[in-house]
Amino acid sequence: MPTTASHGRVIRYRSRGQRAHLQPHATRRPTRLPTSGQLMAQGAGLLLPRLTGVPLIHRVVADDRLAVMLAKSVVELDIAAPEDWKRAEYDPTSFTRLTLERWIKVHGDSAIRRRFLLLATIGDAPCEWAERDETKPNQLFLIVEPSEASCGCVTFGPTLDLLEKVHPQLPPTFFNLFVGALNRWIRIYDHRDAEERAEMLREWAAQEADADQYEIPDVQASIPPCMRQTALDENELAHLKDKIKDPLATKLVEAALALDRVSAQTERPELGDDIGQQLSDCNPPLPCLLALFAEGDFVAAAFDEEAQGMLEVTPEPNLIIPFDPTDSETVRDAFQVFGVACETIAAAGRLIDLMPGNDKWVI
Amino acid sequence: MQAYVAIGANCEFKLSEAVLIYRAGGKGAFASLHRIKQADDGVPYLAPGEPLTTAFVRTLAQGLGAQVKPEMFSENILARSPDLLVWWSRPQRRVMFFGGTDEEARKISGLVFPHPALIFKLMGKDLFVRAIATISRPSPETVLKAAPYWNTDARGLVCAGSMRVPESSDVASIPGWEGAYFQSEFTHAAGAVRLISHPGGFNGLWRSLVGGKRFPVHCLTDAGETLQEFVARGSKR
Repeated sequence: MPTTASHGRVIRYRSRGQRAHLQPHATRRPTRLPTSGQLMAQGAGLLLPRLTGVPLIHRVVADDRLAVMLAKSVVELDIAAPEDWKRAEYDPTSFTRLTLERWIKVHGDSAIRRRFLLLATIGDAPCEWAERDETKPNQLFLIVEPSEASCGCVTFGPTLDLLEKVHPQLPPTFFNLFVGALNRWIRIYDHRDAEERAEMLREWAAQEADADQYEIPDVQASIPPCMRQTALDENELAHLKDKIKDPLATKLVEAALALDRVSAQTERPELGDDIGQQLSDCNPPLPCLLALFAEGDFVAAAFDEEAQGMLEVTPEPNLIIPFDPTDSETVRDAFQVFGVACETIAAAGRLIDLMPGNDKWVI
Repeated sequence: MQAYVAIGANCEFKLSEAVLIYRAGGKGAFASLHRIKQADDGVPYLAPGEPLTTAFVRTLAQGLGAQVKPEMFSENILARSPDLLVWWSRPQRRVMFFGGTDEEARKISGLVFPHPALIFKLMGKDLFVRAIATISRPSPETVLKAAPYWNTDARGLVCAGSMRVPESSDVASIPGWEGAYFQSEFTHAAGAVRLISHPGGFNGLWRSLVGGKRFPVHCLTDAGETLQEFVARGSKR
């Protein structure tokens, strides 16, 4: 039953026959006079209605066999904290959610949240509209996709300018390290997507009678000249790294190399044909990060235009990790792979923090 | 990164908003939407209200199930809404089972009979059945006939009894619903309803149809409604 909290004083009337208890030293007064409490103002009167006793959560439990199996596995594997069982109010689904939250937290959640809007889901289908594969009754999926259909943003321009002063081949090397490491786990929309979009528009326009009337952005001409250099290979970069004198450039290169190392700790799981079939009607994954050279550049324009159609069909999740809750090895592998993905995204978030010109994109 | 778990039909409903409705007697009403916040002691409270938008009402309706997953329609689908599926089946020969206390009916149980074209209406888990006298796809004006079956009342509502109904109510479940209807036993008339017009009565008609090829549509009785009315009236008579 909702009740109203009062920040002011509440006037309480005595019941009939109940007398006021006067202090021994108090002057006796006629009882018809109002008490001082009754004379005091009630305060601002701005009250926030409290819903004391109203449950915050209702749970529907239809079949919790898989949730129970998963909860059991994550406890046995020391992935879960047994004390969460009480916090979860003895519900295996809530317990699994708390475990997932805990796992994300120890794998860089705070750095991830600064730069990315992501959602990790454990479910029994590889995407929202996919039917559950009845031939695999024990199959679950850990999927990662952008939450709220929005993505983070990073501007490379000032960083590339800085690195170009150190070495002409450093800008494309840094860009490739960053994007390559992150693209192993989540989708980044960069100038190559913009180029692909422009190419598609050119093909469409070529089929029209007045093809020459269409204005299509020249993406290649808009890419910063420093990006046309050949990237350094691993040995060349290792050799150069120790010679960089600019402290920020050193930090940036070291962080990019660290990002690459974290990302390469494990491989994305291979998805079988059966899962591919379940995803056959999906759009490509939604980008989790937009990589610009400058704010409002041609990549941003291409993204804004393409984004209008990205949700016309359900997009494929960025990361899909299948596992079987009854097989603790696959559960351990799934959480391990997911942990690497989280650490990679967190490392990318920390690197963006170092990159000049990116204060604006903190979420 | 947010975390969410959705395994099977299990789910968590978190208190997120409250709608307050203000009425002025018979002079209309308005509603405000309040987000739910949590005080330091964990007790939820109402945040300041904002006017209710149509977008919110749409979202709420979707949450209440007023959303139909995209489905391909076959030629036999007549109407579809979030709560309703109406389809039509051509005249055909089907096995029928009779149970209950009627000895005459039990003698012909499990035999093959011709059936008229039928209209099925599914509302949630309620199945309604009507017949039509034609063999082509009915139009909204087609006059419906009572389904010539026991366990089907004057509204066409089937008493499911022990019928094994499919879990879902989507287009793909149509064969399952038809199968469930004819694979269960017809045991008794459902209320005072005139199911057929035949000199031998209900048993006489079906006895005469054993092994037959075509259902005599002149034996069907008027249901007193058109297809349009049948679809529009929902579950009411």
